[in-house]
Amino acid sequence: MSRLVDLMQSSGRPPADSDELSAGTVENAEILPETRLVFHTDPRSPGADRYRLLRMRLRELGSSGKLKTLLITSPLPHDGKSTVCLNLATALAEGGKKSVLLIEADLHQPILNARLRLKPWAGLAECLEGTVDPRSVIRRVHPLNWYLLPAGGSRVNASELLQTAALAGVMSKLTPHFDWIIVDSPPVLPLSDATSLTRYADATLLVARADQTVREAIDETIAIIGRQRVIGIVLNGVTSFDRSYSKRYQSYYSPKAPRSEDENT
Amino acid sequence: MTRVLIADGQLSIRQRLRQMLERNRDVQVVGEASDASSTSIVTRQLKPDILLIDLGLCQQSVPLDLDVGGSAPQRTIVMLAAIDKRSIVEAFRLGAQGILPKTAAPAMWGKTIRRVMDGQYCFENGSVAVLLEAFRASFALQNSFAQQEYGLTAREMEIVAKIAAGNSNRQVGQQFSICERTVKHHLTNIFDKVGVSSRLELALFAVKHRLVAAEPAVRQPLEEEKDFPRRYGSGAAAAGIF
Repeated sequence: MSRLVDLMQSSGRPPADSDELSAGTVENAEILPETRLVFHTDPRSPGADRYRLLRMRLRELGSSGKLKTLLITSPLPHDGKSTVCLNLATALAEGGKKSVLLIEADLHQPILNARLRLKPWAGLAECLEGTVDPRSVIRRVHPLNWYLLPAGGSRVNASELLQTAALAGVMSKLTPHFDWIIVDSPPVLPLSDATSLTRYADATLLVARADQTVREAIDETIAIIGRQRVIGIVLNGVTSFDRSYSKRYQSYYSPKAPRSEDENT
Repeated sequence: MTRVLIADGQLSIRQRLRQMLERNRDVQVVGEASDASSTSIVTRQLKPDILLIDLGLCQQSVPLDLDVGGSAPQRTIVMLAAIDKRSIVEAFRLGAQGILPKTAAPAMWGKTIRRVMDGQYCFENGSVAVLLEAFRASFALQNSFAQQEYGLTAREMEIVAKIAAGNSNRQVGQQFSICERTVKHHLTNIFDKVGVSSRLELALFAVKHRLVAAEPAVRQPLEEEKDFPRRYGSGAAAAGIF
């Protein structure tokens, strides 16, 4: 079993400004506390620091050419997959040197556009149906500096769409253009979608929720996906760790009071 | 059970279609409409799975949520009085997922409805060739306009196409038998002309502004799972990286 990386609940700050919008290729996101984008809203928080640690581990693999497309999934719904995807994409895109694409592959319950307060547009579902070119529906999300391929319109045949070989075509079109591709997948146990998606990812990262996800569900998920594909587990929603650690963390990061004249002499 | 709404100006056609469709056990005709405004109202009220609509009504019904992106809740099959190039292209432009002549055989109606409900496009024989031809002609025209608008040379257009396809500078150089430095020089000029600052932005810009052809995903053979360990390395993964 992989070691666990814990992540904490996000907090928020007022919506970011948007003065850079070009017609059609950039979408302006509104980041609210409920977006749970702690890496953006509270970059000095312990939660954001956990994402930096996760980014560091992933970059080590990425720089060796072993990892580019990362599938993020969980055993059951509501474990925090999309929250991890949003924060990780933001962390990987920080600095603007690396191009990051977030693909929303949960065609059953797409939520990213709503979380980011973006108007809906055609996305992965339409790409898989062969009606649009995937490159034509990618938008850069301002101010997060990564690109989004949303799920698109909801479909009754979502699972069937993800099992078509058109997915290979979509991935092969997009992969050369990006340094990182994060795939937000549906949960593993209720649906077969994640199993189809793992074929197109270099590795899979599991998300589990503290005090909610049972060990048996994690074991079963790893058995379904294949142990060799899972590179780690993110433990989301840790609160007890938060309380003991947060105070010292904040004090370390908070600006030091200026020394008095007496101290300098 | 597929719920169908029939929209046609002629009562006799609506009645004939209703009788024909109701012979299919999996089809239920939930309503009829005789003009554009009633089609719009009844569609919103009844929320049918399939809107079976005459092309003439379809043209008058804008905006009727028959958008090409497919975000409208119902799927649309357009009925044509006559199968000609102009009507086929117009029906497709208006968002039809199926096109049928009004004189189609009874079996074709049920088959088309089922295929459209399965998420497929279903056009009468010959329509696909007409659509492809129209698309090619349209693209050639737009491509020429776009090239002129941004002042790109023929060589620059070739390089844009290669970049949009995901080729690296080295690959582009090899394909055109030019050195990598020359490719970079071309790219700098292209960036200036179209107003982008990276290869990725150029690729997205080129597809969006039709400097290159949009290419919807095609069906390809599935990658085999056995490819995974070679690319990633099973030992490291099994041990866990965190």
